[in-house]
Amino acid sequence: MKSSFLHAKEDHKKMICKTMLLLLPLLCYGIYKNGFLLYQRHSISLLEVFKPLWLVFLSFLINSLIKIVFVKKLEFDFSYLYVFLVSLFVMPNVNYFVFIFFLTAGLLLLHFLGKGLTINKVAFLHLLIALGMFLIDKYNYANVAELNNVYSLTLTDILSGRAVGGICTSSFLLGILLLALLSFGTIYKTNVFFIAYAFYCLFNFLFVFVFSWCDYMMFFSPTVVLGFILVGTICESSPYTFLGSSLYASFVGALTAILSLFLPYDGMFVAILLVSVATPLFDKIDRKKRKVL
Amino acid sequence: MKLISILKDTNIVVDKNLYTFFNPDYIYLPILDNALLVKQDDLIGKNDRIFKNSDLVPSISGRIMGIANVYFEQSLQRAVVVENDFKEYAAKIKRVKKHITIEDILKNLEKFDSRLLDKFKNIVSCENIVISAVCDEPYVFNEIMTLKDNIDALLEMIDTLCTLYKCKKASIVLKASESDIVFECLQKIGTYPNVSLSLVEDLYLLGKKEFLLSKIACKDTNTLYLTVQQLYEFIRIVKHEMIPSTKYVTFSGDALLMGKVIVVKKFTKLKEVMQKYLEFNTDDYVILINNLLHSCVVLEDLIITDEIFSVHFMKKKEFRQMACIRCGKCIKVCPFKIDAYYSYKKKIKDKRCIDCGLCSYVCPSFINLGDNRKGEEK
Repeated sequence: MKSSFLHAKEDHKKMICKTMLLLLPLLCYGIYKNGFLLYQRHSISLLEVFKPLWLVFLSFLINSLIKIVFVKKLEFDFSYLYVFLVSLFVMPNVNYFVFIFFLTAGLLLLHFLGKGLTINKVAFLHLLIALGMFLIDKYNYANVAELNNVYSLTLTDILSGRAVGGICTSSFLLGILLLALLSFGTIYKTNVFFIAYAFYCLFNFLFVFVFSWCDYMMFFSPTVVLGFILVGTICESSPYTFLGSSLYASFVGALTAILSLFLPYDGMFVAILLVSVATPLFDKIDRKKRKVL
Repeated sequence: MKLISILKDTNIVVDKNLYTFFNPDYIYLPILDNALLVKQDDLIGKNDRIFKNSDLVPSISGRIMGIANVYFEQSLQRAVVVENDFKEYAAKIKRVKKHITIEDILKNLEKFDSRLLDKFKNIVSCENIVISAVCDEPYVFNEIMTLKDNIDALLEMIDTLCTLYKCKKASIVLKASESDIVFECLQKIGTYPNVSLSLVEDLYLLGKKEFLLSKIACKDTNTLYLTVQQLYEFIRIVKHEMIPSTKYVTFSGDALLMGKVIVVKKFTKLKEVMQKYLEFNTDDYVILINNLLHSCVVLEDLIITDEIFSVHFMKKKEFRQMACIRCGKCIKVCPFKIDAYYSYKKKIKDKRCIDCGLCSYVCPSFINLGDNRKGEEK
């Protein structure tokens, strides 16, 4: 049997570590915006300043425990990256118990029922946690200061990170910087972001300027942009062929624009989750188009 | 298609000197059919015909010991064993031809090497001659060593071919990273005004002439393309009117203290070369042949045939295969954009696949995407 005895240096662990390192600025900004700034206004305690960090530690701990108990093997794999992303996208006022309960439930569901499925795990886990917050009547992406309407947001505010969004995902510009850095990495589906964002903007153009259904600020929603950059491009749940990934991205962008009219912050996750179910189909379309095996 | 460069391990070093191993104790010629012209204890000379229906000839003179089952590449085959008498006796000693014509070329190639004949039979004239000294496969240096060892003869033959085929321009192509040989070529090439040196980047050209020609902005039509090894064999066949009895083989790997390029007699047992020339830094290694991107494990009893151009001694490494993460690198890197993972899952090989091994090389899950055996259970 012939095989390759040489391999490029990029493996799973290196990919995960590189991505996590690139996400650290988002984590730091989340600690600053939803932690330090609120602490200065005496809205939260000192311990609450580092809430994003506690959420990350909790998510790693839950993931590790599930692996030890059910998989019987502790391995540093993509699940750690997924729970890290979930911790960055949750709402700033997320309840710890809701987070722990629904994250655990979600990971267990994925472990027992999710094998062989190409659903986007980050979107699935995030939506479960959002559902939990909805059930306890605390579904709100604004932090304590934003709830009291301390900030009146302009476009500059949104671009520079003072927007309402996930605990670490409220900076549009940081997102663009992240996109640039990720694009220079070897494994990143850049076309998914650009096509998804293009379709999102196209539909929003209709909604804003033709039907006047929403505000032009929707074009710059940092949660949506960061979601496209980090969640929509996850390798395991997106097609790997060019035509397949382009079709996937166009559906994600269009569906996000439509669902964002009803769910401004979670519409994107719903869109990604729904479209990711059809991921193998998109690759099949590419194969049929190229008339290959 | 965007070509990539293969990451080289700096621990794998190959000696810049050329070595020779012309005195194996035995050689082993594979029996492809049963029509033998010799029997046990017969004395034979170098290049004597011993098979009725095969062009394989012994690379040494000696005595026929008999027939044995010997290890060729991946299977045992019956082979004629010839014991070396170390006399290098050849029945017909021919003078080296000084002047050759196109008729001589076609006549001798037809007699000795049909693969080279295909390159020359339909050519009356050509615009360019391109001689590739690019060692594409990782840790293989045959082309460079052949060029270094025979540069005068090769340049003279290129000049002759230019005259015979009314060629405007001839070039020798080298990788820019091979600074020693570039310098040596530049010193000698001045004598031949119609021969130039072209340098290419250190990219993996998949051994395909199309990629190399595109890198030097040369069209495939009306270009005579040969590798240095092919040109060297061409000289032996056309000028000396004999099949070359030796071949350049690179022995390299991270299990060796120092790799070497050794000119060996064809059909020598690998073990004999290892005992004479190679020193190891570990006992825990595997032996691989030819391109490391698409290679198979062999034993040290392997017989070195014409198809083998390199032998690698690599320390045993565990690459744990993981599940595919749908990154799409295999498609991006494939010269024909084949869906390698789909072919791997369905166990069907795409007709366009050239076994370059790049899909397996880049896969971050270490999946052996080149394994397309049908009906095989994992």
